[in-house]
Amino acid sequence: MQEMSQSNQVPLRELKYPIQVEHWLVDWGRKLKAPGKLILIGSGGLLWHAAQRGIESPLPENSMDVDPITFDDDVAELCYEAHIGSPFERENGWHINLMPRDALDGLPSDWPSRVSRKEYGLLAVEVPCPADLLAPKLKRGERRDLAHRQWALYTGLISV
Amino acid sequence: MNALSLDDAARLQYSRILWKNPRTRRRLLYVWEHPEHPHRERFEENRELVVGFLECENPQTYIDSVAGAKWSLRTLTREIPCVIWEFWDESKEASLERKEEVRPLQNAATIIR
Repeated sequence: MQEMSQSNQVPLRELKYPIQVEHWLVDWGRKLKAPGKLILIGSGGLLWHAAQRGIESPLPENSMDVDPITFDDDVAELCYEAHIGSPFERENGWHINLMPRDALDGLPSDWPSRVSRKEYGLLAVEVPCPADLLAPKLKRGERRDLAHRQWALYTGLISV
Repeated sequence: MNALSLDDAARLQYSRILWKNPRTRRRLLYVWEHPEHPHRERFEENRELVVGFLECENPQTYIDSVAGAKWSLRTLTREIPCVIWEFWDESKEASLERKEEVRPLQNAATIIR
C-alpha cells in the first residue's frame, strides 16, 4: 500500500489514500489498553469518510498529518508517540498533529448533531460530517482547501 | 484559553491530560529531565510554577492568583517543555514505578520515626 521514494526504503511523506486512515485506526484500536476517544477533523476526517464508503480515489494536494482531538490520556500518549519526526512517521510517511479542543470552534456549532461514530476495539472515533469538515477549509480558501472540496464533490462525499 | 494559538493551546491541554495520569506523568518527567532535553535547565528553574500550572483547576485563575505580573497564559504555557518522546527509555518504566511506590513508604517511615 505504502508508496516508496526512489530509494525504495523511505515512504513518501504524505497521506492521500482513504485506506491509510482506516488502517491507522484499526492498528490503534488494537494497541489501546483502556477505552478512549478521538475526534478526527481536517483532511484526515475526509479520508475517513471516503474509506467508510469504499472510495479509493486519492486526495489531491496530499496531507502530511492527521488532526485528532482527544481528552483521554492513553490516546494522547499514542498521539505523542506518533508526532512529527517519530518512528511512526518514519514508518508511515505522515504523522499525528494533536489539535486542542479550541480547533472544534472552527466547525459549525451544531456539528455534533451530524457526527459519525465508529468503534475500533477500545478506540471510539468521532468524525464530523464532510460538509462540516470542509467549513473551516472554505473559510480559509487556500488552493489546497478548494481542491479538497472538489475532491469531496467528485467522490460524492458532499453534493452541490 | 482564547489568548493562545492552537499550538500553545494543544501544548497546555495535552500536557495537563498526560500529567494527571501517574504513569504518563512519570514519562513526561523522564523526558523533561533528560540530560539532552534542550529545556531541561529552564524547566528546573520554573519547575514549581509549571507543575502548579499543570495541576491547577483553571489555568487562567492560576496565572491571575499565583504567577503574578511576570507571566501570562501564553508565556507560562511556553514554559511547559516540549515532549521529545524519543528520549523515553521503555526499559525504565518498571524501575520508575517502583521508585514512586517506595517514596510514600519512606515518607511514612520518617513520620513514624
